[in-house]
Amino acid sequence: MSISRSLVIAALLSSSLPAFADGKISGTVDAKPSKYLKDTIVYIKEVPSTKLAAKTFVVDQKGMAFVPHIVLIAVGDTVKFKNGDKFDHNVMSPDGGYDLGTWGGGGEKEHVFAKPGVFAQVCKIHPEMLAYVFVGQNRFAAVVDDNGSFTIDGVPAGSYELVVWNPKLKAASKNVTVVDKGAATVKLSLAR
Amino acid sequence: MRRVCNLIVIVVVLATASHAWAVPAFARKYKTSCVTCHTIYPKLNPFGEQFRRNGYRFPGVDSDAVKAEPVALGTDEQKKMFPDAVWPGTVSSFPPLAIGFNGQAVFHPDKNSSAGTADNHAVVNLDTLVEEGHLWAAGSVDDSITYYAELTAADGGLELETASVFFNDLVGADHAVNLAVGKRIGSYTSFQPHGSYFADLMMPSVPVTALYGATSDPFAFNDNHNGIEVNGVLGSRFDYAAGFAAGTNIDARNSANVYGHAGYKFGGATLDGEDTGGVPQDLAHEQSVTVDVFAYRAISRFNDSADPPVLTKDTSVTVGGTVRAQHSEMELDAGVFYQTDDRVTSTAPSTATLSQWDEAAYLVYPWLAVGGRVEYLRVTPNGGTAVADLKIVPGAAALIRPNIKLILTAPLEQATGMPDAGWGAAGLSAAPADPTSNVSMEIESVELQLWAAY
Repeated sequence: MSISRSLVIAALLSSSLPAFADGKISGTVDAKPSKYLKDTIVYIKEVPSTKLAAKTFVVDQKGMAFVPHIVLIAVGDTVKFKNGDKFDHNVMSPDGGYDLGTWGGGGEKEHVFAKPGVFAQVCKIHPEMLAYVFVGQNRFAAVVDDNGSFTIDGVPAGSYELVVWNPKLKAASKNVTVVDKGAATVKLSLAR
Repeated sequence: MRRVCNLIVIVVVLATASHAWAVPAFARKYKTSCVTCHTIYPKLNPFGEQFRRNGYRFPGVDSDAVKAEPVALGTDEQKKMFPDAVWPGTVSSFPPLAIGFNGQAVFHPDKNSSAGTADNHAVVNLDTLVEEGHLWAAGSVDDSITYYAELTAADGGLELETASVFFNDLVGADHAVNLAVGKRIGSYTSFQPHGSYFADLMMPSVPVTALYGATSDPFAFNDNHNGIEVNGVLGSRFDYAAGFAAGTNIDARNSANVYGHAGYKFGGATLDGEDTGGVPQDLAHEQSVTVDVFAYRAISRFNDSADPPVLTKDTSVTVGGTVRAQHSEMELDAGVFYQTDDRVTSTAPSTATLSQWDEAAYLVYPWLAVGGRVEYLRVTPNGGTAVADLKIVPGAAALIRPNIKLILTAPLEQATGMPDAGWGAAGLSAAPADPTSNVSMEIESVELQLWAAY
């Protein structure tokens, strides 16, 4: 690897992550009722001095479903919505206040997410279709697995507010401290 | 004359047969046993009463308790888009249906008793071993709209006994104001109409005009009628209902029946399962007293027993009250209603009817109830002599499985006179030789009923 190339990579990394970004936050989330555990997102509310390079993510509409069901992005990122079916789909968000319109199979449209939040994506033609675009201030977020476990890697040392989001349930946020190269473990509970 | 009376009795009994009971569709929906809501079905335990009273919904958020996830007809996000999107709902992922049957073997220890005589002095009558088949539909459209229907097949044909939609939580706090629309028994007490271990209805059905020979459209206020009812639970202890019903008429008329009910429960579980204050509800061993009052005003039009029949209009006013006391496994029910009818036939005077009932039941085991009930019915024609019937029904009810049960009863009955068409229309057996004769206390039969629901 050339010195110049290494410098470029180092510069890119320094633009997105503070130094010592190899801590980890892991843990479990339980939900009551447990059937609503699905679609739970755990994220760090704010990481100071975050500067991110914008990225583009893809959400397809395939087999009458949004794939993936949840996409985790950061402010300034773009989501490219594709239509992988052979019939028309629509993309709109009652949370984001936008309607990208309706288009046929093979088409695609993009939307830039400028504000943090969780934005439901629906298809007006097929009311059962649903996806969530989570837009964070940073990229330290994870979707819990079927057992409620989650891991957020590459967390810089510091103290943070860890927040849980779920479509139906609520949980109090927790303060968590990550030491340099350390791992913090958290347990969170969701309920009505 | 006797044949005519028997025919009337059969018609009336079939017309008023009403077995709205356990619905395994709910067991499938919530993946829970019948005994979550019932003691010995259709008898509801305090939790089952909460579920029924809440419009067939669990306390809290009903969908939280649903385990057989329904098919979503749209996501909740559609609500944010309304009115630019259809408000979402759900359909059950399986047909929300259940089936069942019931019947009985009838033995006449005294084949010359009134009931034995009606069975042509048979000692064993298996004619109604399988008497009725039932198809239920029950479920929810979403967390606030629910439905319940029952179709019954019997010798008399098919009858849609119940078909109601419940629009719940319309105004104010949860359960405060609900709307029930359809065909059903109105809410005259805080409890299910079919809350007896030993009879079909806890509150006896008394079609007074039929007791005097009405050949069509006999009316009893606590039968299934088309109507609209507003009901609710306030403060978790007080419940009310006010309804407007079509009643029974031989011809199309303005629906004019109105009724109201108010009840209060002291102690035990709350009426709606909410506001428990963090105190666990001991649903299986509660100690409570619930008091109810109700009133009903009805107009019915029917053909009387004259030859040829005369179209007759009867206005009835009923007032009554009930008390239920539960002390752990013991439950006592008592109730009374007083009804005036201004014209039970085209030529008869007005009548005053008193119906009183009591039931005591003790759950020896969760699957076995023993006890009995007493029903007293007296009808007094204005200026005439009162006639009365007393029925005593010792019995036992047992669950063989959560969805299969046996009931053993041995009704005893006596009568002091009888109305013109006998007592049969009120589900009673005593048959005096004429309206002024008496029947001493006699054992009418020993009945073993089998009920099953799937």
